[in-house]
Amino acid sequence: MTIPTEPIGSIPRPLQLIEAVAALGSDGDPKLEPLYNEAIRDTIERFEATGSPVITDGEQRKYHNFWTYSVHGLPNVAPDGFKIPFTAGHIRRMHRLTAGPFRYKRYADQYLDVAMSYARAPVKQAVISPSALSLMYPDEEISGYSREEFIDDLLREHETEIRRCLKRGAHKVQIDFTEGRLALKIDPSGNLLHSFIDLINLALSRFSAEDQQRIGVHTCPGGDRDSTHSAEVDYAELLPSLFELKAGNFYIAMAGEKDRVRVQKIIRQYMKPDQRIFIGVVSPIDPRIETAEEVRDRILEAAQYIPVEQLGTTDDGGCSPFSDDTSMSRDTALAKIRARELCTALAAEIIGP
Amino acid sequence: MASDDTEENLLRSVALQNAKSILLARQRAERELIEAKEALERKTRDLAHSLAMLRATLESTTNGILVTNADGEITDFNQNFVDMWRLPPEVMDTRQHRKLLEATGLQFKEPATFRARIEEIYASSPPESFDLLELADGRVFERFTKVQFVDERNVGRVWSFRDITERRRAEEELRQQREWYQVTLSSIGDAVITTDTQAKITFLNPVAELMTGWKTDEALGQPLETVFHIINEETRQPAKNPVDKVLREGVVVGLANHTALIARDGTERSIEDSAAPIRDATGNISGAVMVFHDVTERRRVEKALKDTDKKKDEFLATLAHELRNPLVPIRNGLKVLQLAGNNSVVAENTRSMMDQALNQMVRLVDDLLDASRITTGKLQLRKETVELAAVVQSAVETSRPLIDKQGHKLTVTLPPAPILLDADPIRMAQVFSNLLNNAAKYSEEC
Repeated sequence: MTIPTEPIGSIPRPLQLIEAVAALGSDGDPKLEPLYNEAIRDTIERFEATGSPVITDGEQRKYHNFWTYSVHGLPNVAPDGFKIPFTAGHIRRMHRLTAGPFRYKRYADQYLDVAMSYARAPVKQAVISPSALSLMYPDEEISGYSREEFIDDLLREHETEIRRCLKRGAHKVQIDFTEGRLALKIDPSGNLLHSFIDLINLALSRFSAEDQQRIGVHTCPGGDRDSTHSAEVDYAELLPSLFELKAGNFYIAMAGEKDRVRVQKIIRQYMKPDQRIFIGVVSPIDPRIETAEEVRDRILEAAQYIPVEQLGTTDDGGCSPFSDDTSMSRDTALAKIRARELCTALAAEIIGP
Repeated sequence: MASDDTEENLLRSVALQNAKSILLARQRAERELIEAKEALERKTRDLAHSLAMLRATLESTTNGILVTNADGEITDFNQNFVDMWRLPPEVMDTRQHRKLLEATGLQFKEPATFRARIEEIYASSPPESFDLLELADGRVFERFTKVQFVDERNVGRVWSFRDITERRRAEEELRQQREWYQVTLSSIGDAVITTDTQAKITFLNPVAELMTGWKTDEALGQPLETVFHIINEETRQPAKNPVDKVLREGVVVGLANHTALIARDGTERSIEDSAAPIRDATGNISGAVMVFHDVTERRRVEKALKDTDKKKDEFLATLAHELRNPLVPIRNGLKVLQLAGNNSVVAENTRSMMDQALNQMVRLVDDLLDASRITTGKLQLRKETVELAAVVQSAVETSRPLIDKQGHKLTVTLPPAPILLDADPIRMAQVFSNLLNNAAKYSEEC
């Protein structure tokens, strides 16, 4: 019995890169290129050294974060979008669309292209969800560019990004849907969540069943500087809708949950036969490195509720979704990842054939 | 930006407005999905109909059909295929073409050759292929294959088999029959030319080659009038080609009288015979056949006979005239003998004259009895040395009664010295007598 295990994505950037970006102020400066490339090369080398069967580029090049990388630098966006407050007290700001039409500045497959040139192991690629980017359209309608047109453009751009990643050979394409619980926080009625689910499904419906098996959805309460933006929202509100998404893989933050058993029972109730559930067994917002026993027990616990043939393990979230986050070292992040990989194999042995 | 509360409200407002737009997008997508589903259902129904038609077509064809994909897997076949290859059902269950070949290959004297050709087709993947398969049991199949393309992608091959054993047998019989006809036509004494419906030559037998001066390989495909050049041998004008009427009206047409064929080298031959339509099994005219023969010699003989007949008539008229001439002195002699009484001199002279006339008649009767002489128109001359005066005297004696009757006066002046002739005295006397008779008849009375 083998239990598949995959990372979520980000690894803390090297301090030298963070300082250089802070100093040069832009990712367009050519002096940054060698630093980015070295960061990617080093990340992949160390990632592969952990023995991880699937790796990422650690999102070293995703400036400035997992949310805005695709629109950062567009002439028709302003940096004064909505604030996302985190429990640690800090905020992150979204971008605001100022004019139509809406187009991505860059697609994530360009990161994949570089990573695959260094990697030997299969590489997965994370992309931002259309629901997260939908919040860029302002309250007031943009003159000459309706909200409906924006939604159409957004769907097409999201679809294009996934197709490009699949075509480049991504092992999996993971849609970062960290705003699921946030949606419930904004609109407890659940209507907003349902519209997010609808929006993502409108995009996923454009893919074949075969492609959908290579697409996954990651949900977590948001993680930044060892804190979250929506952990207080009950998973029970989210999960029934989440499994309506037409994706073959679900990466669900679990290690940081207070009542994992309850959540896993909900998962068992709503998951579908063709869906694989990757349970988060290490927590990036926990600064300590989980013990092997701890991780092993989380996996064995998950295996009690989720059929092993549909079970996988992952991290609760990216270890550094925002590029300037220095709350965790690269070494710690990779150690957590290694712990997850080793304990997944160990748990698989215990479960037996 | 506004205060936190205001911003949270704004975020909620944006999110909910987005939700409405997303709902609209979803409704639109659902409508499109329903339309697509309906279109798909229509296509599915059409496809099912097409498949049913295809299956019916597949099963109604007399050919054996096998369909394989690019991996050599059997994707379809019809019952005719199974029947004509006499395959047990379990062979088809494998759905593997190469497994199938193990069974079908056994039906050949050299299975390896058969299978190698199949592998060659798989390897080279020609757009089409055609092979003639001769099975060990004597059956003969045609195999035609064609690549199947879907959206310009090669998705496999259709293998079509047709049992042509009976057709081959019929073709062989037809070939033998045709050969038999050709040998027969080549062997007969008449000339034979056949044409297609455009009056282009399709066949000449050796006699026709000889008479026209055209060899078969040169004449085939040529217009008939080029090879078969005919004229009216009396008017010397081109004669009507009978094949044109045969092809136009479908009737048997004989050549006009006095038709002559001008050969390639200019040789002219009198010909006769006819042309007739060639009809196929459905009665439609598929060409014409013309049979003719050389009647030059016959026409020459006929002309000779006609000439001979004419000469015979003239001879008989002459003969009657000749027979009548001696009768006159004999009749006169009988009258003289009646009148002469006992005058022995007169009687003797008269008797001599009558004897002479009688001899002439005997000679003429002898001639008459000589059929060969009559047929050839030649009377035999019995030449001897004779004096002209005696011949003239004989002729005058023969003609005297007519001369006297016509009231003419005849003066005979002979040379003093005798003139000897090497001639038939009777014929000479006849000549002079005829001259005198004609002169007496046609001269006016003195």
